[in-house]
Amino acid sequence: MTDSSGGARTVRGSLGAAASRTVPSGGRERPRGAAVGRRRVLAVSATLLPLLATASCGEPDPLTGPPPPSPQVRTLQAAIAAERALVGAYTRVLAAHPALSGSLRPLLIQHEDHLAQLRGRLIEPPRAAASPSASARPGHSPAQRLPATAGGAVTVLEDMERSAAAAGVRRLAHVTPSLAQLLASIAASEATHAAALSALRPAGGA
Amino acid sequence: MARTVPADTAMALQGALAAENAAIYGYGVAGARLSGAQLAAAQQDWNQHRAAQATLTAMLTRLGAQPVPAAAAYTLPFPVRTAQQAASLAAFLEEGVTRAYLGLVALDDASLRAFGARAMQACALRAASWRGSTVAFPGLPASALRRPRPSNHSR
Repeated sequence: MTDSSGGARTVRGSLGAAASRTVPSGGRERPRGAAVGRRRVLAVSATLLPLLATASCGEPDPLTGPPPPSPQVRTLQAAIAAERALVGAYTRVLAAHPALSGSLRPLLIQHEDHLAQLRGRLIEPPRAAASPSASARPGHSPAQRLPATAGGAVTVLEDMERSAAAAGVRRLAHVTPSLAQLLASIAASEATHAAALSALRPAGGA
Repeated sequence: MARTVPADTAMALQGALAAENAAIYGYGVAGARLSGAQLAAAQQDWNQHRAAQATLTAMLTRLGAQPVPAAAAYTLPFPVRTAQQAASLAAFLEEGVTRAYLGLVALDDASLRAFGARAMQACALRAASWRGSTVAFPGLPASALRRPRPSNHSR
């Protein structure tokens, strides 16, 4: 108790001391040579640049557009893109192999549930959300060609599930506890999908 | 003398250990009703829970915490007299352990989050195997989901 309050007092004290030290020193050195003064000003402005850059991050700049998304938003967008790619792949496999419907449709429905939960957490103005997710649409790069055989298509889905489960674990570091739990749960679900697809493969190949 | 261990870290690890202790007891009950491949699977899963129990105990000891001991007996959620009930019990136990590891995923420490998430995958895989089907959100209580709609999909 006493230790922590003492620690807090020290921190507050040192911050105050640093602030009071900077203000008068700048003023006192002013009367010296003009060249030195200018050099000092340049040096100061160079060190201040990163500070100004970070300080302006929070406010929308009408010239450069909206600020870059936070790590949390970027993680969410990546997870949404991954789910969209899975939903797209399942949809195309089901269209090509309707016989797999009994085993694949429940998994597709679970991915749609994942997607709905993830999208429900993306709190962003619709316009800001539109630009990054447009490039992540399944219509672009993830729409790789699927094998013609049912067994081959199932193997592709299994690989996608396995890498989605691994990617989910890698996304946990920079998000809120609540989003981390959702991502971990989705990743666990995807791990079970990979196992279910693996069990399906011998039958699917026939 | 003791390093300041965040209370929530110790609590989350203790929660996972308590769930592992319960699972180890429960698999003993389930195993008595199983035979053949199912019994072999239960024994394999029991071993994995024993390994997880040892890992969590070591983690807690390293943090200077006293690992929560296993109870002598646990109340079963339903009577276990048949092989089918034993498989349901195994699925129930795995769901409990999955939920317990979710507590580690909520901690600030990135490596503990990843550890919890990997453990969740192992539990969810065993749960799906005993249940015979997959679920969309292993370990997550329905209250953690934003919309009431997604649960409608389960048949």
